[in-house]
Amino acid sequence: MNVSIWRHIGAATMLLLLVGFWYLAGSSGQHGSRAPFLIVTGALFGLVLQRSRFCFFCVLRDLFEFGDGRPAAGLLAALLVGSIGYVVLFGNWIADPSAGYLPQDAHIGPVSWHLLLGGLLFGWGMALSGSCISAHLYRLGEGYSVAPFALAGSAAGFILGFMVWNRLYVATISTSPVIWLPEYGGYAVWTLVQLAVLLSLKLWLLIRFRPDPEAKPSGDTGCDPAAFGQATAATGQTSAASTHFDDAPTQSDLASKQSEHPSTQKSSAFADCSDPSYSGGGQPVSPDSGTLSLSSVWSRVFVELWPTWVGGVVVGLLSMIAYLRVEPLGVTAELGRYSRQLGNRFDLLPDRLEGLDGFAGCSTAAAPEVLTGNGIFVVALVAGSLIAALLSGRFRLSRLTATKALKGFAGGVLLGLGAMISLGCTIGTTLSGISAFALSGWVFTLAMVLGVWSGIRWKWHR
Amino acid sequence: MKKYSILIIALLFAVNIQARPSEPVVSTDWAAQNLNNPDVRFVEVSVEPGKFERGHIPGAVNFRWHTDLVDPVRRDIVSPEKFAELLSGSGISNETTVVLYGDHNNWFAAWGAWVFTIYGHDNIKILDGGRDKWERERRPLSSRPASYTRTDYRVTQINDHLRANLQDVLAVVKEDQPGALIDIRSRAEYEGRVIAPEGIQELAIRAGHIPGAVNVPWGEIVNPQDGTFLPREQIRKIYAEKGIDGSKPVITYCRIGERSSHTWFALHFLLGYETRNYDGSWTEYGNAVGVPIDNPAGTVWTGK
Repeated sequence: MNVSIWRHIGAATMLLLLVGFWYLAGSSGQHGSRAPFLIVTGALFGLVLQRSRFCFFCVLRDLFEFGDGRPAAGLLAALLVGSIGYVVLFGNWIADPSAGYLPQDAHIGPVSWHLLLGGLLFGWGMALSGSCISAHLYRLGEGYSVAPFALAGSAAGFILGFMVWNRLYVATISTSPVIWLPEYGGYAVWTLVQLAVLLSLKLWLLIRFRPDPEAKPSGDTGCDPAAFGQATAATGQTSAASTHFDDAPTQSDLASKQSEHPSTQKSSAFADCSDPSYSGGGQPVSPDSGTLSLSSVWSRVFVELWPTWVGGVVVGLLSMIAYLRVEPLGVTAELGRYSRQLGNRFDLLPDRLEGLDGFAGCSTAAAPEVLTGNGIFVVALVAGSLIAALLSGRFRLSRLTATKALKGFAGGVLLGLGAMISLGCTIGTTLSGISAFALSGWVFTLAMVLGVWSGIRWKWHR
Repeated sequence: MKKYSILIIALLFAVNIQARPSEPVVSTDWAAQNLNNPDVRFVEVSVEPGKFERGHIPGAVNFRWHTDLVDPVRRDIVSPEKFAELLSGSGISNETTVVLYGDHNNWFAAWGAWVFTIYGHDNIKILDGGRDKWERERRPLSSRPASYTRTDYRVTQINDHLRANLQDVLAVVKEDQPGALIDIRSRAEYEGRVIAPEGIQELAIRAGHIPGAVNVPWGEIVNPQDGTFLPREQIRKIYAEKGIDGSKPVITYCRIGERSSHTWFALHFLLGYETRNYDGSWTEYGNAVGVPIDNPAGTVWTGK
């Protein structure tokens, strides 16, 4: 009973802190009207990632380990919506894509084997640490205790990346082409091609990979079992919520009772992965789905997990809105910037990183501010996820073992190194890159998926 | 008869003033009233890429300084052919009044104005206070692209005399030619304490300034509150105090020749002094072999 009250007080406090942050960032005068926008979109992004379990690794793991293609198909919704959004903006900004201009600060990077290397390392890092960087950030808000180690590892990985950058730059990046697909053939052709490819992939995933109802995932996995354990509880809360409006303690009591008897529930400990309501299925879980009471809406938005595709659609929209108003979505720029400062402080990095700051992507160039726009966005992301986790009762400090911490850190190093070489991660390069019709986004993603697949095959995530 | 001729001359002079494009600097109010004027075209030249796309003065077109107004391979301004093509595509004719504006106190807008004037289009104005003032006054922005009927713009004259090269500068330094030099960089750069501001990649091998140059940082002639130019007489006084009074041709320079265009604009258009911009600036002069340098701070090149 008390736990639930504290959860809501915690969420309200976080919200207040976020408003305070808004005020501080807005009044510093460095970001002007961008600050409120960054905070709102950042918090919303964190909330959506948490609510829909928008974790690239978990989703790929569902596919490769449990044969469930629906979450991965849901993830593609983000790319579909994002691509459409971007092409609308592109048409407005650059009437003729063959004019020789690249769309302003869209994440379109150089294409060569360095992306395959970066993607592969990043994929392995995901398998080893249990998440990609964006998911570590939102799961930090869920109390995932490995996340800080993975993020610290990422910082170290970034420093490693900066140390090898000049060699990579001279070896390949300086002469590799920056390919923006619409430049070759126009918007119409590439929009059709990209949408066709994404839709075919989506259908293939949905049809070919149906979950095996008998599949029982094992306990200790990369995808935080602590968080999933509560998914069971969350399912149970729905019915309670409809009858006991505003009676949070009862919900919580009921939930905890039910979670003590997981066998009575249809969903296993991996409800998120195997319950149709959480993935592509789209069937409402609520027994009272016929009536639309305030409590059922509250419960569906803030308590139950959203299907991945809902998260995907919202992420795609956010991606477009962010590009329209400030810059493409990305979560590693600030991490990279701080790592670069740290590396410089200890004289680990060369005086000049050749050509690096000239590329579009997650920029790590020095800036006078304590937090750049990307930093504000990331802080708001974690806060948004924490609020969502508190409200849904999914905040739980997961148990930490030395092995987990070590694996998290080592995986983090690979994540940072991969993201640095590729000028972004699964958000900056996959989401913002593919949406921008950048060939670099596709190449990185291909290698990243291969990395995750092999990592899972070699059971690095166990 | 003499009386009459004076009267006629005075009359001609008055007519001449009338016929001249009135003020080289226009206010945001004027701009707001002329948004739909077909004879006026707004052109944004911002330092920061991406600003125009996310919102600009309605109807404005975007000139990217790093691709549209320069030669991307050779260190030079855009060729007259490319310039004519750029203007034709933007629906600007030889008669159009062009209002340039941009971020960062119109640095690059002024640089654009310099390029326009070199290619003989002197029917240009600068929006006083630039983009920042427009935004601060909460005036409308648009993210819709404007499309204009193509024109056939022709560059008919090239005003090379507005541009100084290294030889021109050396001629002044050696007093072979009369002239005055204005270094518009910060005091620290002028004195040679630093080669360039922090975070700048393009450096010179030597620090200091061109002998004989006076230091008037570009910001001294603008209103610190809103970035507008100070009143003409005040600007005249600021330069006069440094010995620049228009009696000798002036050469302005900075690090890469862009910010000095801001000072060039004020001297050329507001004060009417004969002024050239040295776009090679310190990144050329400070790297040139065998040229005299004044380095009051005594910074010694250590190879780092």
